[in-house]
Amino acid sequence: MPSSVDTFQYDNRIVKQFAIASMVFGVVGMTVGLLVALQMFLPQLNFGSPFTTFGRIRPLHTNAVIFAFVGNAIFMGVYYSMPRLLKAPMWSKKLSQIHFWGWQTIILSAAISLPLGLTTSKEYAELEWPIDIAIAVIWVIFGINMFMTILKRRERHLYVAIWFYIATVVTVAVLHVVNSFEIPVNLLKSYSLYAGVQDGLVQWWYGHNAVAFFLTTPYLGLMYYFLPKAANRPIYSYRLSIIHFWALIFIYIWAGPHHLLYSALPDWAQSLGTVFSIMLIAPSWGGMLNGLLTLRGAWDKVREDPVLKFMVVAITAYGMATLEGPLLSLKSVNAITHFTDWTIAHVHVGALGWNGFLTFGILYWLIPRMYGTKLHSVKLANAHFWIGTLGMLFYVIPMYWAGLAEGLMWKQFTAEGFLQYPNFLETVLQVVPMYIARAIGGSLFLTGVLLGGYNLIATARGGKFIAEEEASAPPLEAQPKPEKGGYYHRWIERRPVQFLLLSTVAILIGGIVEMVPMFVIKSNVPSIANVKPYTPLEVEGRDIYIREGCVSCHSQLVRPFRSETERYGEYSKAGEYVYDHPFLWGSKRTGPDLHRIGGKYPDAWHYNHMLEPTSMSPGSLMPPFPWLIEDELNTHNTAAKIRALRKVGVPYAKDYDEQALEDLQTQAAAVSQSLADQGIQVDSDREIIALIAYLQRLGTDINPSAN
Amino acid sequence: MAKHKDELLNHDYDGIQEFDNDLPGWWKGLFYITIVFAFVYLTWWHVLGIGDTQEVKYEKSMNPAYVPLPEDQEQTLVDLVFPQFKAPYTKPGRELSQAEILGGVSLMPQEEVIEVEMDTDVEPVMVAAALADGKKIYDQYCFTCHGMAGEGGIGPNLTDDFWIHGGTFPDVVHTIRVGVPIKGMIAWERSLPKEDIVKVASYVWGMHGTSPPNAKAPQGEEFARQ
Ligand code: HEC
Ligand code: HEC
Repeated sequence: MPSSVDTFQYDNRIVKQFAIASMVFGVVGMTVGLLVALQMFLPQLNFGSPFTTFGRIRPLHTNAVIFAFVGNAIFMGVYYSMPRLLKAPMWSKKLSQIHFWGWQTIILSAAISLPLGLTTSKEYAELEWPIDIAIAVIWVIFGINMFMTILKRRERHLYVAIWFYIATVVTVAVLHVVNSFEIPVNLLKSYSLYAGVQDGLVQWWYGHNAVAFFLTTPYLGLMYYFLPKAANRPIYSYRLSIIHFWALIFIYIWAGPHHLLYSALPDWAQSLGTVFSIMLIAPSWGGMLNGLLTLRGAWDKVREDPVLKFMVVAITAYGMATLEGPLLSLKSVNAITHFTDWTIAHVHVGALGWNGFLTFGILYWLIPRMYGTKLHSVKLANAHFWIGTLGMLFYVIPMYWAGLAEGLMWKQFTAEGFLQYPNFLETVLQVVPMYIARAIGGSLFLTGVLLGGYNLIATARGGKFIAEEEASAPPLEAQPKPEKGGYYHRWIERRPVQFLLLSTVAILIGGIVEMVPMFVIKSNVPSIANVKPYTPLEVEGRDIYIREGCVSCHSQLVRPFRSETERYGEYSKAGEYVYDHPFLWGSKRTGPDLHRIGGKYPDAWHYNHMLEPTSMSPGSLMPPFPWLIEDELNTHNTAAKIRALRKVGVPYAKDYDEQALEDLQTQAAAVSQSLADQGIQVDSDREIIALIAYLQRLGTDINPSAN
Repeated sequence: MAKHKDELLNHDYDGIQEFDNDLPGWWKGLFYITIVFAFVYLTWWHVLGIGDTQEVKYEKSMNPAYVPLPEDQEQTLVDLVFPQFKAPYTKPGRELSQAEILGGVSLMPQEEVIEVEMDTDVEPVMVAAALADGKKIYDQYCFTCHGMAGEGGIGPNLTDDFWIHGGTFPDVVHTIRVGVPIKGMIAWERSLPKEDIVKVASYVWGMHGTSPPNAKAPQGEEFARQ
């Protein structure tokens, strides 16, 4: 019957491009990660330069690893597997190339702008608004190319990997766009449209689902293609695929508030975060099971084949991380682990294990095939596997230990009812040995990656690149009509448009139910009359705080625990943050919380501390910020900033922008005078003056005695 | 454990086939249990309002005798959907009272007692062991602002005859205890037990007249010790 058979070519060039980019940026991103890990116990490695200071370099590491290493690996895998699963080449080679070069340009602009301190400070969404727009455009181009390929397919039904790719494309677009609403001040600076608690909710709805839909769903798609290919075994259960796919994408989106437990977020939203995280255990494990059980009867192969070894560890790490995540969402567990290094351990089980190892497994399978040859050295790949596994253990075990130790030390009271460790720094210094061990683990892991890189290059050298792969299949019209009956789900598998719509609905519900009440029901953020907008000088100080990435070490969220109110002061109220565009709650306390820092120390203390933290806190691991004292505060944009903040709803008087500079100078002169009284001469036009003004303001609105 | 029937479905994608195995029973069980957990959890806290909100939990941890006001107790989904029926806590725009904002302050019942014994009757403990402890505390917490030898820096000179907040021993203890938060002197009673405050105060008391180098100019009023 199928008299007409199309022949066509798969484009391997784009796959190769993304593979190279992934490896190169993987090495770069992990090297930066190693630097950051070293800075945590050797502050001199901040090199006294703004461009290499921890607060700016940490987002460079996270962005490089997530969007450059993993991102490029996703595209590599999608551009390889999707055409083959659909029996159709990518719809447009030109769009593929635009996607590739556009994405690399975005990465490059991130690599330049982050060290320059251009950041929104929202985690994994640090890039400023012009880059945000570029990301959206490139992502849509990817989406179009993908969807057109699906429409032009020669395979009637969509395989489970494709379902995951579709969900990924849609959800990432929605997340990115909603979280990036911001009002520009100029080309390089913007303020989040949302404030305080609401910004926090949107950010962690985004942040959590960046993990879900950038680091998880596309990788599940890749697993569903490359694992059965590498093992040469059928998928364990088609039914399981259906159920865990829909359950996963529907439930995942709700879980964001588990990043904000015991915060100023209303209890009901926190509870939704908790229960949906618990309900995620089974759907996540569905993916793991379908992976591991596919290997039934192939375990002898696993022992020999490094590709499968990498994949097995990756899937196991996925299972561990997705059980641990829900457990961390229980409030009583979270009370101890949140803000500690436990979180760092948790993400690295996912990042190094799941994403890293699956990527390497795929590369070891893919590169020999694209070069029509065998892997250069199986021995070397095995060495990579063992060094990587060891590195991972050396990384995560000390970090779990450190996290637990921190959580317990912060809460420990003496018999007399005083904090056992009233000096926060003591708790930091206790875990330094763990930081050292972590750096060793990281170096091992990176060594493995370098071995892998060498092995892959040698493999490529030994073969000949097959740029185009010939294939043939009858067009859809010439294929027999689908048989009646069977699984109801087959129906939607052959209707990509309906599939797209249904998955969009599935991922929208959770976000809508959580966010809409937060925005429309005012009582979710009870207002406090004393809370006033920041003065122009404080706004500038806050922007310095954002620029220097202080938020990567300092939270601004005192949780309602006796141990925290004893240490920091009154716990934080939702109403205190209503002018915080963006919110700066942070996610990790390497240093103490700063929400109640205002008035705690004299101005001179801050001056000395910022110049050289160890002068005020001997042994401190905080990096010095000497440039804040040399550099003049840029006030060219102050008026524009006031206008932008007015636009996002901060109630400055109508023409206040004209008045702002004068007020700024008056307040700056007062701070400079107060420093002079304490024996420190510094001009009132320096950045440090603005930062001190901001720090001294923090958290004082509700405390009438502090002003 | 489910039986692995291992029936192949009659489709393949780029050579990948799929079995039609049953879902493992324990997996299904786990899924159902977590769903039940979710319903019970939400009902408990937000429909019935039995579980404490985090504010109430906090108040209780600060004061075991705390009895939550009705409006602090329930913040349920019902209230969320029908805010008009809601107790004052979530009335739109309700402002927190000063007492709520300052939370724990009222929960220090011994205040009065300490006041008397610490700030009027207290005497320096000039014994070696106590002074050694006092020095340890000073070297850990105080020197950054008052200098290694009490010569002053960010904070005032502690060795001269001039005192901003009074130069009697009870005055010194009092300053250390409650601090001068607006000027940056920390209220140490939050982190140091009574005895330690007396010890470090005694150590400071003993610094008097040592005339260290680089001393900061006098501040405050002259006070001559008898
Ligand atoms: C690498 C992590 C790190 C970064 C980045 C960092 N800090 Fe710190 N910070 C610490 C640590 C650790 C401490 C505790 C030791 C000390 O007092 O120096 C601390 C202490 C502080 C304190 C004293 C808090 C207290 O209650 O005693 C202030 C204020 C502070 N930091 C401000 C900042 C500001 C402002 C920035 C950004 C310009 C910043 N920090 C960046 C780690 C960091
Ligand atoms: C963060 C800096 C800082 C630290 C740390 C600090 N102080 Fe002070 N201290 C000050 C300042 C500033 C003043 C002056 C307050 C004023 O001007 O009213 C002061 C005042 C005092 C006074 C009163 C002096 C007078 O002239 O009346 C005493 C006594 C004192 N401190 C003792 C201590 C002791 C003991 C410690 C350690 C437990 C300590 N301080 C730690 C900053 C500090």
